[in-house]
Amino acid sequence: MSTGYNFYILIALFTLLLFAYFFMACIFLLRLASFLKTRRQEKFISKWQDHIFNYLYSTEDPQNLISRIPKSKYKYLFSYLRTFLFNLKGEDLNRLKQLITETSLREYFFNKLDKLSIKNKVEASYFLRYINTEETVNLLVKKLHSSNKLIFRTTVESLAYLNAYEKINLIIDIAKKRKNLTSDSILSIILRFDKSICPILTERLDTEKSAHILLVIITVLWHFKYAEALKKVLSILFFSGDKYLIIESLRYLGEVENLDSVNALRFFLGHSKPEIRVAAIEAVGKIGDTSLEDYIISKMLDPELEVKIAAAKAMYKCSNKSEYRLLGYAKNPSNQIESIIARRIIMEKRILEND
Amino acid sequence: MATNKKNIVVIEDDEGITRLIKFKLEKEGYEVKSFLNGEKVIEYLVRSRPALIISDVMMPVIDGLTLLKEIKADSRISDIPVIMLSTHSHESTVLECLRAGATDYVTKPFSTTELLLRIEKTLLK
Repeated sequence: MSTGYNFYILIALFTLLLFAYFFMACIFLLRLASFLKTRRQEKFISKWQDHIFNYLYSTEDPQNLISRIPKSKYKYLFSYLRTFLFNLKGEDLNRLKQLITETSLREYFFNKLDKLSIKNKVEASYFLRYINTEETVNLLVKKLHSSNKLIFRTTVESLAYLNAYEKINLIIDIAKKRKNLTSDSILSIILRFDKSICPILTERLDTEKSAHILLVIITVLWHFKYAEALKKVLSILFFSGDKYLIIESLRYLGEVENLDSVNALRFFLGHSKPEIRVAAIEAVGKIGDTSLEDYIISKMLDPELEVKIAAAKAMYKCSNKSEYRLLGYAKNPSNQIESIIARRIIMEKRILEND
Repeated sequence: MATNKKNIVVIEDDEGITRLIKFKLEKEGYEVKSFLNGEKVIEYLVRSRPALIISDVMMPVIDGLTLLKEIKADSRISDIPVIMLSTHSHESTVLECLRAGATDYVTKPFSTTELLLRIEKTLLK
């Protein structure tokens, strides 16, 4: 072996060793930082816990407590307060909120929202949700335009906590423009709000052009079982060619028992796409409409396996008549696919019922 | 205010919440022993026979429901009332705990005053 070749091997080994040492040093420093942070947090708790708890169960002025805690310890205070703000309610929660709303912390958070650091902005948007004023809502709305995903998400959560439902259209408009937000993320953000957003979202169904936002809106309306959106969802169902929108609209119909929805379901039970037939059958099973039971029973003879399975599940809960027919299939000694499906569904349902 | 110093066991994995409950109950005159999970609790319960147990449902190592079933299956401690504490307010979870022998059920977010009233009511029975 040549001397040059050995030299390169040595250099490679040395570099690898150096990299391994560097990697280990990084892990050690990270663990040390985490250990020190935990220790400081524990030290803060042991010193201030009783002061906080005593304040909670007394009539002490909240500013009195905040003034005594050094500003350098605020990060430990906020981290400690989060647990209680999340887990407490009633008078306990009100007293905790007073620490933010009736003290110098109020201005502190307002100022922090304009700091450059992302961590500061996220923390400020989180705690500002406890200051229910128009000023807070307006300040938070400005932060919706932040390019940082975490700031955007925390701000929306705070607006939802403040029940600023009138800002939902703006939130959706901004969310639409963000490339790093999937439909599922937008859905989870919108679901932070309560049912008050439903009338606004229903109005939006008329003008919204994006199929994935329409899908999100219909899911939200389904989640809140908002029957007042029925006419608009029916219109999307009949005029949209998007398979996913049709399936989601059918799922919504499963929550709204109405003659119009029953007629629409009857129509879609005969759709050419099996996934849509499945969605229609599941919706019928959900509302348990007996006027459609013969249609559902006939779907046991559908050429597609998933449609047969959906029909068997719907028959089990739709009515006594359809359940009797399902039992008939199950008792049939032949090993036809319909009999096998019927036996499996009955067995599954009975196990679940007895569980 | 409790007349005699009654012993209460709190089993909850959130240290902050445990400390708060402990503080509130001790302030009201109770003696409180806390555990961060259900491991080795049975042994302590048999030894000390507390007046009441407060247990979280979601806990590491042994979850609250399993612990509750173990308590109710042990004739030495099955008579001790258990109040369950959880973030679940689903009817099925509540019913499951009550069926397993829980005396009462408190859902998070909770009020310590409400918890105290439920404790007092349970201890009066």
